[in-house]
Amino acid sequence: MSLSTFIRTVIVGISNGMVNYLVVAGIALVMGGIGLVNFGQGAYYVLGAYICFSLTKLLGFGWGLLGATLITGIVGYFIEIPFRRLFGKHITYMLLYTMAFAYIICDIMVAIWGYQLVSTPLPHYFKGLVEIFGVRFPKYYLFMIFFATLIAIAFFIMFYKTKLGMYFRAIISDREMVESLGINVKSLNSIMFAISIALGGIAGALYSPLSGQSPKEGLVIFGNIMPILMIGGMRNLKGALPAALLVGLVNSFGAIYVPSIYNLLPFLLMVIVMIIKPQGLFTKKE
Amino acid sequence: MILEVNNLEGYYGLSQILFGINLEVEKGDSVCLIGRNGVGKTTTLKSIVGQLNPKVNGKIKGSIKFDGTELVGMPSYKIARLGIAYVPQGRHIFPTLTVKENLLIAERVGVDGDKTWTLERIYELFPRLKERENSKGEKLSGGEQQMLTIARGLMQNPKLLIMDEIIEGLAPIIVEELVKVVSELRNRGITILLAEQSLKFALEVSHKCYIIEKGEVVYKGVSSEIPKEVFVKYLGT
Ligand SMILES: Nc1ncnc2c1ncn2[C@@H]1O[C@H](COP(=O)(O)OP(=O)(O)OP(=O)(O)O)[C@@H](O)[C@H]1O
Ligand SMILES: [Mg+2]
Repeated sequence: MSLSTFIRTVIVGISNGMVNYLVVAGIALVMGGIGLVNFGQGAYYVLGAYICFSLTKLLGFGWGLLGATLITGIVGYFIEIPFRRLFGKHITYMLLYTMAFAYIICDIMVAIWGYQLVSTPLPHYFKGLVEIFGVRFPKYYLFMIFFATLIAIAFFIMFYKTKLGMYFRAIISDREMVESLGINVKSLNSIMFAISIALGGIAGALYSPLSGQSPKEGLVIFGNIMPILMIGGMRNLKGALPAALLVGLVNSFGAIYVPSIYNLLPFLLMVIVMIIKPQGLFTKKE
Repeated sequence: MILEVNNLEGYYGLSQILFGINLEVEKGDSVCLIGRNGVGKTTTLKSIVGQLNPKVNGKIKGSIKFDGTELVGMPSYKIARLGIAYVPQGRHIFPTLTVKENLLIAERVGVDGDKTWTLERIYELFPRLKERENSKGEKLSGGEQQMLTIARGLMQNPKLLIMDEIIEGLAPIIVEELVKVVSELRNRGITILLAEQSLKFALEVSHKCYIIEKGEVVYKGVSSEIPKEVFVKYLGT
């Protein structure tokens, strides 16, 4: 493998990893905070991609990204209302209910955009390669890493440094006590959901120029994300980051060395982790 | 009366735990519920603060009036906003939050615009918490955690401070400190309702006592005047 192929593969792996991290962070946030596993998160990812596609055509890529984030966030804010009944319910019930919503969202997308695969047109300044220290990098992949990192940092600041994040962290460890301090946890749930879904939406929008999406893809994305959740450790917002990068790199290098089976590598890794370290590779044992 | 509990019945699922509790707390008073293991002290306090709700398979009947407002059926965050702070049994500090965050999360202006308790005032009363300001809650010793829960309750600038078995599992020297803290709070005129198993501690920090057995109040009186036979009869000590 030449140096430039190697670097390119690393860039592809990291960029996919960062984008997937956003999806996983959203899932892990509500998993910890509300005790809800949103198996249908992929639907909002694809929703983000479609909104980005349409807005980019109308107004440009910047508006596409912004619009996808805001609109999926608003959808998340309101979708929390029917999800309230899942509180404390068995996980089977959650699976069926959240998937039903994913189907509904995906079919609404079919109604709006049809079955055609769409991919967001890249603005010209993101096309092609840029040379840094004699090595040529694909521009858009670099932008993806930059932008996803920015969002991840913003998310971490929100979570660890703001009052809202302090509420979220407290709710994750003891929601009943938070309520007894006079804090309306229900209204915070809506905000938490909005952020969670928006993270999925941003991720979908960011990835949308790279591959064609179809609405029904929203139903399988959770499956692709599972290895990251498991390897990082469920509910572990920090552990999901190295896990996402690891899975990204395993995928990008796998695609070169073992192209016929690279898709199964993350799942293999997940199964191994589940056997040897079920709490997750990046989670301390309790 | 700041708090009036009338004929309170409490259930977990189908099992009845409280069988018509009556109790009253006067403004500025310190009242203790005393009773053995599992008689329903915590259940009574949870009923007051709204934690015995259908979410946890709980149910209550009867009436709980705080400053004339009926609390039964009210969500717990609204009850807290009326001016009731709750220091639960088992402490329930937030382990992943720092000491300072544990305090700030509870910060609230009291009902009548009361701003007595600020971070600075809390640190004056609990200098140890100031020293540990940036430590995570989970890193504190048991005694420090208990101080933190009381301090957190005060940050709400409450009209009524409810505390459930605050000396449980703590060394005698820390218990001494807690006696001082509660006495200090009483001197400042804070209304207090406690639940206790320890007779000695209960008598040291309360003005009135209710003895509870099997979900019922079986005796009430002024702490310092209760005859010894009563304690022998109900508590075995
Ligand atoms: N969540 C629950 N579900 C069912 N039963 C419960 C629950 N919590 C408490 N109980 C039962 O209710 C009864 C009263 O419990 P409670 O916690 O009020 O007692 P307590 O007086 O506070 O005791 P302790 O001094 O041990 O704290 C006990 O018999 C207990 O087993
Ligand atoms: Mg108890």
